[in-house]
Amino acid sequence: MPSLQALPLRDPQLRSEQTRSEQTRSRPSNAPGAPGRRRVLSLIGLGLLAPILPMGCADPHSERMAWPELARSLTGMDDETGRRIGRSWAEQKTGAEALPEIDGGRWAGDGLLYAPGTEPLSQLEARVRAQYLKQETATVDGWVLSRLELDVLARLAETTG
Amino acid sequence: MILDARNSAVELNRRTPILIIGGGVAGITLARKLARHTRVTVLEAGGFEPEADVQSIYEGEAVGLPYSLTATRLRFLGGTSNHWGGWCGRFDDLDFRVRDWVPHSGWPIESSDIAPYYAEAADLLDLGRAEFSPAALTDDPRLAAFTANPWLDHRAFRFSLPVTRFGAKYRGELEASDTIELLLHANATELRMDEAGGRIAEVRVRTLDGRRGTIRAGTVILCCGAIENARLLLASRNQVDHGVGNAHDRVGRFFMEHPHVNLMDLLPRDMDWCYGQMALRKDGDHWFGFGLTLNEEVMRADRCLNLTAHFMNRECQAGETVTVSAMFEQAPNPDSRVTLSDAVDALGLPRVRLDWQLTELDRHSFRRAAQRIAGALGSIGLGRVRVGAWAGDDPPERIGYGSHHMGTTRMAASPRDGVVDADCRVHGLDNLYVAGSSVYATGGPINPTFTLTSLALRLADHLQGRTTGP
Repeated sequence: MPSLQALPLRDPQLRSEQTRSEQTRSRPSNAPGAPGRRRVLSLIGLGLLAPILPMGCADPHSERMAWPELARSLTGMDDETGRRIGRSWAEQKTGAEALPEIDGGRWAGDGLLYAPGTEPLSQLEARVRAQYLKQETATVDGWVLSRLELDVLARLAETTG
Repeated sequence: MILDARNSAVELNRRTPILIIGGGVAGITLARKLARHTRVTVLEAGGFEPEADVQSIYEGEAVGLPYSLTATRLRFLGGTSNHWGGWCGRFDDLDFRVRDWVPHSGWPIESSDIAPYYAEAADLLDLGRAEFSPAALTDDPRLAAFTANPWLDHRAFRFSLPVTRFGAKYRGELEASDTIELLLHANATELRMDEAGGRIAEVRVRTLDGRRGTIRAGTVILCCGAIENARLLLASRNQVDHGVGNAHDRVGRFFMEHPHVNLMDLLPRDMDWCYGQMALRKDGDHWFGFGLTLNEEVMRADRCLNLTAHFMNRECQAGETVTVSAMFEQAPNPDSRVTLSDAVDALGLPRVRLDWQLTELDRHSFRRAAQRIAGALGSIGLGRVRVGAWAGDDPPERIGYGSHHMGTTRMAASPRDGVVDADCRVHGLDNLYVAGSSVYATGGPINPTFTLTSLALRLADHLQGRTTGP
């Protein structure tokens, strides 16, 4: 499970290259040249051998929701506001919070990876609602937000717009 | 009939079974109802329109929180109904009860004691009917979405539209009445007790141009508004130093307003819900709308005061925030008070000194309500909320008010706790009554006119059973 400490601020140069790499990975799996497409083609080529290939070769978490998209979906805020709040929250907190486990999803450095057909966002929204009801909120730069939202915004703050 | 006290042909030494001092909402309501059975005299300090020299009598000192003593009141027939906005709502049952987290809370009456007068008050105020139950008024699912949160409730307001101006609306009826005599430009300057000190024997009257008179009345009712009611009692000190009805130093204390605070800016996820909350709706020919409040369990748990929150923006573009403002009940506070200034007005009466003060309970309530409502709106997914710096530790930079003066002759079972009893009779005086929001023991979270009208109608019923001539 990644933590804030496990997600160091990255060098902008490296970050830019990594972003390009992420963009490539995030192409639709059936796009020409996409890794997923190559995998599908090779499976076809293997024909009858396919059923006996180890299932672990294919990552079930093939869908991705990057931090900006995730933050916008949860909070409804624009990225700039979200990053500003996230930075303030990261400065206020003394330790990193683990993001919650999600059925069908796992956290990665650049956001949330999840399996097709699962609904990780609705799970997160339910957790956010529950935190509001339990008053597990904090006021950061005047915004009253659930702790989970703030933790996501802290990850968002480590990205650039 | 209507007479002008400045007219030398009008006799200012008079006798009347009932003398009402003040021709505003409470005074006209009482006069109309009492006049069905007896003769009534009403003193109105102004005329039919605003006059600068008359209005200047309201000038005074505000030594506490900033407050305008002149802009919030009008001294002519109809009183402050000449500039009110027509908002009407009913008190919660809770508002009448003792709450252990609200010092000095609790009335000696319950909401059921005035509820029988709601229909009559609604008729007087042109509300259509006295239905204030949100569930009875609409089944709009956009409102149900709010109360899916366990902390929130809705409160309905009905609107007097066109707004009832009591002077303009009832002037013709007053002129035509055989049993009401209304004296314009007649200022009550002193209440004088009998030798035993148990009754008001006479009321001294003056006009600004120097005419004087004395009115002897079987029953005297003060209906001058919370600031002037206290001022007249305190200024009537020729017989007792502390003023009339003030043996326990309660007159003028517990001045209350409705503090108005911009609670938060809401970044909405669903503007349609907001519009559902903001919308004014029709009930037949009459208008109503809704505000949000916290339910009793939450107020008890958070030990905070009652409130009504409104979504303020009528139009909002995507990405813009909606201001959520709230009108709070004020904590009853004996140090928030009306006293007399050293300055005197053109009638020779001491001017008013108003020391409007809030307590830590008020500020605590602002903070807690902001946090609760922010959480509630988050939990239902309506949007996210930004509160001001004051929601932390600092008080709000600006506290508004509603021009709602309440509480200076508060109702209490004991004269040690208040000025009037459950029948609005001044403790210790057999024939002196007070009507209007100065009798409020707590201010509730809504505009005061509907409740004070209902209380005035109840007082009229009480007096009809016991009125005697002077």
